[in-house]
Amino acid sequence: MFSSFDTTAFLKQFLYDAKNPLLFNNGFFVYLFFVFMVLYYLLRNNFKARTNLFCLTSLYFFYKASGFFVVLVIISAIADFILSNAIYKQKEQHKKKLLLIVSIVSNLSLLFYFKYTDFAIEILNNTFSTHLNPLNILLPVGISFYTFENISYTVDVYKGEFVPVKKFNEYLLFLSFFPKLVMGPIVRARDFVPQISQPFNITKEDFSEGFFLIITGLFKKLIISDYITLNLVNYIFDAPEKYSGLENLFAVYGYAVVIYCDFSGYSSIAIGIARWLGFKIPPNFISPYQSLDITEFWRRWHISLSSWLRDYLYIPLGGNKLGKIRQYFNLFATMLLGGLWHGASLNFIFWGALHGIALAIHKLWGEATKNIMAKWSKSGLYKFFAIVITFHFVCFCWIFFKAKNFKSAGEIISQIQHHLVFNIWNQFWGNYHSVLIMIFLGIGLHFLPENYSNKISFKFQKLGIIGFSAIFLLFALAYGFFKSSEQVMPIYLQF
Amino acid sequence: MDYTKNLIRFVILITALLFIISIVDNVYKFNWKPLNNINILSDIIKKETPKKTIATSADSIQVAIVDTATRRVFKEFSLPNRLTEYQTDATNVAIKKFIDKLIELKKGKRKKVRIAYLGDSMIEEDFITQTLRKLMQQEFGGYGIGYLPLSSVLAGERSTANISSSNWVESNFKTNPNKVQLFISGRCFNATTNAFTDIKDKTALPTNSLEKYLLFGATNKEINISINGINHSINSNNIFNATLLDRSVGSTLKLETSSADNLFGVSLEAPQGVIVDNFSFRGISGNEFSKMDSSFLASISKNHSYDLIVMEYGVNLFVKPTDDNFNWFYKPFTRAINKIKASFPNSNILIVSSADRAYKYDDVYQTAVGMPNLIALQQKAAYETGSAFYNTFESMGGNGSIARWVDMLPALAYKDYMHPNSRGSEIIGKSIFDAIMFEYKKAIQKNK
Repeated sequence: MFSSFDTTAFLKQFLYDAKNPLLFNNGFFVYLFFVFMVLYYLLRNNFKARTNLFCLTSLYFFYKASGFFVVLVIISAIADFILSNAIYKQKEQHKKKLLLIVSIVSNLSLLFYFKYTDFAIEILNNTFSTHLNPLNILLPVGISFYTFENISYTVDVYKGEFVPVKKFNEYLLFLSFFPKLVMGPIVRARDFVPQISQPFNITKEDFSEGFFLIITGLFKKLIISDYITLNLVNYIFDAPEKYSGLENLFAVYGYAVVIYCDFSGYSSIAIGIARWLGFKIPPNFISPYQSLDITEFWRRWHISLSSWLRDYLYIPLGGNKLGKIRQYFNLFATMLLGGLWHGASLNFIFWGALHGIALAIHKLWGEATKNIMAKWSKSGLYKFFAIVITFHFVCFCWIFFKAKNFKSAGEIISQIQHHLVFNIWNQFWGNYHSVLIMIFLGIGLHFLPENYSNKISFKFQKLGIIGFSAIFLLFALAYGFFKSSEQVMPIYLQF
Repeated sequence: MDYTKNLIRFVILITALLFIISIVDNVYKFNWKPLNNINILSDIIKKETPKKTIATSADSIQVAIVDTATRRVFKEFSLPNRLTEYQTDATNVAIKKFIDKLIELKKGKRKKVRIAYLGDSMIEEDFITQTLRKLMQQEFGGYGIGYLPLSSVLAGERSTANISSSNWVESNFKTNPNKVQLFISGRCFNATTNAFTDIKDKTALPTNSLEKYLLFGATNKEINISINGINHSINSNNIFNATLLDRSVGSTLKLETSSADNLFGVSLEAPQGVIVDNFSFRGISGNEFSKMDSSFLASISKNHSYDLIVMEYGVNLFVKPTDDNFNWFYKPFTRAINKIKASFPNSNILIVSSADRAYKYDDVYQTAVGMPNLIALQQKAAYETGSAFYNTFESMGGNGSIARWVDMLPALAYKDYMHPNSRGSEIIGKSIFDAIMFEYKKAIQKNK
């Protein structure tokens, strides 16, 4: 075996590979995490050294995930570190404001350049019939997250709500903290920074809750989400017109589960790893599909983003303080920009707009029916229909979120509207049953009682290290099993 | 209680366990995928033995029908992007009867040349055929989309025609409870209440005079069909009829009836030129034609003859990624070809091979392991029946091509790793046209 050791491949492992960027499920991550944890433990009482170690590991993680874009994180950390301290020290209000504007504009410019230049060129070309070539700019991993973190940081400092950190490595760690670097959650400095200088003492509860979060996160991301994506969602969203209404409908449900498991799974892993390292990050998703209405959905879905949008966009726009009409406009504008944040295309803007309109309508509806609903809203039947309707509205919006373009979204809707027949159910079930079970599992996870996960993680506490290890290995094998399971291919039903 | 030490112990234990498992897996080479997938050493260990190669599996399993030597001959003779007739010398003209008719058409000695393109989901939405039709009509004249079924859920997707319809009851290859005679499209329609079909043929100009034929079987009684508002009474006991109902100017057709049986569809044609009929039927393998009634086919040949019959099948034989033995398919497929060949004595038959199809093996999309076997069987079928052969798989780029087509920007194939999209299909359609033109030019040279 040792003769088959491939030195070149081994050395290459340390370099960024665009085809195989670092994720939590790479073999390389196991080693990196191992080395990091042991060193972090050994340096636990030397705050400066352990923070530096954490920064270096995070930046290296970022380099392995996204190559030399890591430089952007460092530059933007330096810039905002200097700017925030300057804002803090500056006594004159208008100069303070100017510095804040510099910070916001530079962050947004960075985000705009990498994320929206091609989209802007496309819009210019379409509107003015110009023939500008798209620049095909690669999107640096995590840029949407850390630019927002920078903005909220300098705004908080400007408002005097937060004293800027004095040590650069602490700011760099806040920005580059590897568990959340790629896909969030968006962390606020005032919650995070004070934890950097806490002693590294993990309780049994921290360990078992962290373990539970990591395992369920990995399960959601690597098993449920990846399985449904590969075996249904990918090919149906790619050519919806070729598939029956039933297949399209379940691809939409499937995608609803995929995006939830992907996003919330990643968040859980990040929050779990953070927990193991002594950092508490609030939950980012709380069973969003059991929401009774769209307003509740946004309180449960990607909470770190929706609260960011509320605090740094909706409220500065005037929130609900400038009259009803302005409030609806603010809601709508916030969601529109929130949509655009998810990706550079009209589809995302439309998705945001749909949610914005729905939030405004729900507000109107809530006020108009306040008295009647007070009685109704407690009945089980009402709750059932409210959940089903809210879920389906959210699913409907996901069509625009996921589809390649409006035409493709239209095709999905048209197939469901005109070609939904149930006489093909047996064939459909015969081919796709494993995917359907995964979808039901993903949705079913939402309807576990609220305290159920707490109970499980509490029970976990009784396990010793061996018990935890056994569960972990079982999970790893399950992951290996689903990764190698035979792919479910489309059957092209007659419809 | 401080649990930090236990956390570190846990991390060390898990890493050690994964490491030990990986070493054991590497030393003993367990062939258990879940274990191989969590091997954290696999990235830094040289891959020793190559995986089961496609060539060896092909050679060992299917010797019975196509032996290695024959395969080699097939491979040498069939160039990508060309038509091959294995029974004649490559200097001869392939699909000669058809090419001669094209020459006559070009010289004005003949009015129409008709191609039937039978296929599976690869040609749905008029893919491939729309390109072939356009190029053939540009070269040899003509316009019009040719055959259209009276209703199809997929019809709306054609970029070459707008179709809407209502109230038709369809019998087809998959569901035919009354055992009615199906057309070579694999479909037959009847109406018991007011049914209609609206067509706008986008391959013809509104100023073109377009012949609108109704294709139908025995009517069983006198039926009334309205074409663009003009009523026609039809009564026929023949098993197949192609009746010209309208030759007016205009690219639209509105067909209505309140009651009719055994309608096969319509054909929209220019008075002169090439007609390319798309007969797509998803999920089939081409064997269905072996069960068709010979006298019915002969009647089509007599009344609505085809000069070239293309048969494009194969990809639906794959049910599982591991499928690599398709011997069962050989006999019924050759029977189907021979039946068509016997019923259309003045036509040439062209077997178009399966396109590339990929599955995920070891987490990477690769050409289906059974693909070489399938192609060899299709070549053998072409050889045995004296048909011409076009190798779509090799023309696309051979091994691994569909995966490359999916990854291209813009993509040339769909993410089912099976169907070329409109861009990819255009490439294939153009290649088939070029292959036909290659034979055409060869014939012109020879005639000089």
